[in-house]
Amino acid sequence: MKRLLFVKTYLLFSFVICQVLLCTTSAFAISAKNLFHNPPDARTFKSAGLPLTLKAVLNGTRNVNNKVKLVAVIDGKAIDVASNQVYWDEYDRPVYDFDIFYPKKTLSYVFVMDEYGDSLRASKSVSKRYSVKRLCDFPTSSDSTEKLQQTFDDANIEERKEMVMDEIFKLLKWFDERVSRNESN
Amino acid sequence: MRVIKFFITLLLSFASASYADIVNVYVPQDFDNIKIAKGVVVAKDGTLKIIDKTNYIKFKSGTMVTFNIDTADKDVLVGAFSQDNNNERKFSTIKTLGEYVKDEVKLPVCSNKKADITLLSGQESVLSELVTTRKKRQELLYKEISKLMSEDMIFVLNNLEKYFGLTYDDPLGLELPKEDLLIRLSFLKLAIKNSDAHKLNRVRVEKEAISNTK
Repeated sequence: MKRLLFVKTYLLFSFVICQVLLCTTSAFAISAKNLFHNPPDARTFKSAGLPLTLKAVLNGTRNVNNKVKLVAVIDGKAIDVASNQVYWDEYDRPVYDFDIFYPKKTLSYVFVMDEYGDSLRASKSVSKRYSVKRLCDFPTSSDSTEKLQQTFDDANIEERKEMVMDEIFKLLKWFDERVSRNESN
Repeated sequence: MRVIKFFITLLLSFASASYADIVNVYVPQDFDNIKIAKGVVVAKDGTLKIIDKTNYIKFKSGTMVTFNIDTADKDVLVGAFSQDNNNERKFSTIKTLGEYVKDEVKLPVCSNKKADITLLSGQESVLSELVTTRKKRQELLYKEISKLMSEDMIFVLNNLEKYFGLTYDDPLGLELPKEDLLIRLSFLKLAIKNSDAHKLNRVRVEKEAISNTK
């Protein structure tokens, strides 16, 4: 009986030790390698300049204090992008959103992770590099001889133009508000 | 020390990222199965580099091999080869990187979506009306955009572009093609938002540092 109790205590104790060890090692092992990201499909690319949100999910932690940024090269121009928002997904994993835009031709990027969220005690790591290339340009006119197909093509072409104009208008509004706010300050 | 190491790595990755070119090389062949497809780069001094990290798509009469080249030198020779299960190899034509990149300046034009005739038959007038409405909306948007793009605003935007080191051949204005204008405005907004985020982070770090010393 005593022996059984000893074995039970021993097993419980080793289980607790293992759990503690596992937790600490996994906390230290969180890096950009734990980031899960699905790159955008070039076949679904919209017109260049329209907004594109990239999502990165951090596996193995619930901590949202890990600071992740995106270093992107859009059509040959490099920029680093701060995360727009961080939230938990249905599995309680932190999700980082990055708002960029569809490139004219190529988009390549890496995620850079700062483990503690400050630059004083920084422990940084870089994810693998993702590259996506636009496959083709959108047609600007119809090549069909059928009337219905022509009208259908025109409707699509005008829709794309409208989306571009709409986005320019939104951006100019944003700049306008910002300039007026700075002037009033 | 770790931070310095990281910054050196980041700087190097930036340098390589800015010079990186994605190259698509077509290898004509009629293999049933492809075991491997690799890129080949021959530098000016004759050194040969095999690029293992490639993506490839198999077509009926050949394979499109895509890979990254981290060099700014447009005179290096670039090619690719594919190999089947019997270790038989087929090579692409070898061209300079400049030629490959030049080929890619003009992307092919996508084909128009096929209209569903059964669904749209008899709807032609509605479709035409949709086209007219969309054109009218664009006119309205253009008027609003012209109002917002005042001389003062153009001056501010051009100065902001200079401030953030975004250099272009043409000054920003309404004369630019709409897609180019959109890209430039989007880039500028990203740069401003990024600068805001850095400012916020700096303030937060300073505050934390002060509270730690207390």
